[in-house]
Amino acid sequence: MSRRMPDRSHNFTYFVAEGFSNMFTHGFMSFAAIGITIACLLIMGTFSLVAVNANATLAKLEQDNEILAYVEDGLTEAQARALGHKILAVENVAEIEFITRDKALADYAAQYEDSTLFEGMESSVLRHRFAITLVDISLMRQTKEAIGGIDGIGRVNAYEEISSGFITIRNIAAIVSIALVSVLFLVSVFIIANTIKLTAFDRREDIAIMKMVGATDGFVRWPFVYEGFLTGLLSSVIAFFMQWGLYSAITKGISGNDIFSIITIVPFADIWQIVALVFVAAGMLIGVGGSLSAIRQFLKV
Amino acid sequence: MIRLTEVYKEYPNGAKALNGLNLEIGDGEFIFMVGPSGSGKSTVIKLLTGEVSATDGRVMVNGFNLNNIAEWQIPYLRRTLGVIFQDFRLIEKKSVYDNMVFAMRAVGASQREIKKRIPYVLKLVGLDGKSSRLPDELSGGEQQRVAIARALVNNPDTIIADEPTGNLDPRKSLEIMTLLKRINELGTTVLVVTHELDMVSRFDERVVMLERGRIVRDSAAGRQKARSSRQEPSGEAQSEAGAPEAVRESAKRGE
Ligand SMILES: Nc1ncnc2c1ncn2[C@@H]1O[C@H](COP(=O)(O)OP(=O)(O)OP(=O)(O)O)[C@@H](O)[C@H]1O
Ligand SMILES: [Mg+2]
Repeated sequence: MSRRMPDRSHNFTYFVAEGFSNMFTHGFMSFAAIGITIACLLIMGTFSLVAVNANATLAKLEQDNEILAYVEDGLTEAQARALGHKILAVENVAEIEFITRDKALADYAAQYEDSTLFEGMESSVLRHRFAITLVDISLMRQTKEAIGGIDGIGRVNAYEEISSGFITIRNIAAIVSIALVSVLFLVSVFIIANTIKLTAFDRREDIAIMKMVGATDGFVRWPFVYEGFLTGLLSSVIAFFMQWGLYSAITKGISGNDIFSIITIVPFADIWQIVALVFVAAGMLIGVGGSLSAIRQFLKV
Repeated sequence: MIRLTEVYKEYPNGAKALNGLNLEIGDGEFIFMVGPSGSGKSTVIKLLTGEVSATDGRVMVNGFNLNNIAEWQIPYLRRTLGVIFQDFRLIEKKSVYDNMVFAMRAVGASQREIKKRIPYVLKLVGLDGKSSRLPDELSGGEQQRVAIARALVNNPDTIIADEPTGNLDPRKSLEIMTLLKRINELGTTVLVVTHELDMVSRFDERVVMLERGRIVRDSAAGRQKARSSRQEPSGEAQSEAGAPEAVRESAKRGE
């Protein structure tokens, strides 16, 4: 007997078997805990995916949403081009593209099917211009003013209302999903903890006996940790497939509708690994966290 | 070896359970602890198992100094002790054999050790042939034998029994006490808390008596004094004459 020596290797099969049988002893509560955890994961996942898509849409808009700075009429093309250095020197300017009057006219013409509209139109009625993209779209107003102050630049066009609107949407989505994630996370942990508390309460006498004969806290804790782990893992696997179905259905509806054409949809195939990873990690964290918080009070024997 | 020196225990509610208790139990001893209800007997046992800690004084148990024992060491202290209670505390859903397995697994015993040890211990307590019974298919005396077997199964240095015969009739009680004495003869130290003074008087063993949280009689004191001229630690005034009678009387008062 080596009873004063630390315990032998981790008895994995024993602990998992105990954890499994605990799950089945409280079949209904385990079922409820799994259901609630799935619901929480789905809500968390859905909101996070909304945020992901809002972000993708915004990134696309940021790319499209350029500032146009028109060069004053009196300048030659060479003088106008030279203004490019000054614009690049302005803070928050990412890239600029010089567009001559001729090119601008050609672009306009190309946009309209009825090209006769522009026939015979002189390119001199248009101005040379710079298409400017920004580093940070939220600083659009300040950047616009700085560019407007450059000698030789006339009007500066920017759709700051549109961009600030999208920024607001993104920020709200982010805040809501973070708040929701933390609340739902705690709710799930609480539910799983209570399910496992039932098991632990059922087995409080067994636990007291184990501790009396000299079981370590670790030994007593393991079956409950595995119970939580298995509950969380099962929930996350089911939730993942449900999320997949839900996402496919919703995105199919959106892409089939012209009103939503402004939204950039991230295909599930591009993100499934991350979704799976986050679900499994969250499920395991919820399960193990729940079991550890449940068992704590029963170890004080 | 167990040594309690000037031990005080005050519970959080202010109850003073032990008041300067001194007690030494050598390896291989058999000792009865008696005393009126509330005199602190169960508190002594809880101190020894590390369930409660002393407010003051020194507690040494089987090489562990409980004054500065770390939380993680308590399971290893408990593996040196086999504890038996009045209410048996068996797992009702498990067979006799599985109750044993449960106790051995809890301390990380291997399958091989389990297979070897359990039949030996069940035979020792006279339960071979009943290993597949559930606890409620056994008499009270048999259930207490299972509890004794479970206490023994991890081969402790010391057996501690808190009123092990409190729920049993006198004949069964005698059987249990005799079994504990036999276990002691095989080398295990045994401490038995009991109210049954008739029982105590049937055995010619050391008896200590508690009153208000101190030892007021120790049948070994005289012998110890004879061996060495050491001062009795409690310093309690004792009447040498008629000591067993006095023990019996004052213990009865507490019932
Ligand atoms: N957990 C506790 N909290 C507060 N007071 C306690 C606690 N346990 C025991 N006591 C008090 O400590 C004193 C000693 O109790 P203890 O249980 O040690 O007595 P005992 O000798 O075992 O009595 P009995 O023979 O009735 O079992 C009593 O006054 C009791 O009320
Ligand atoms: Mg008691």
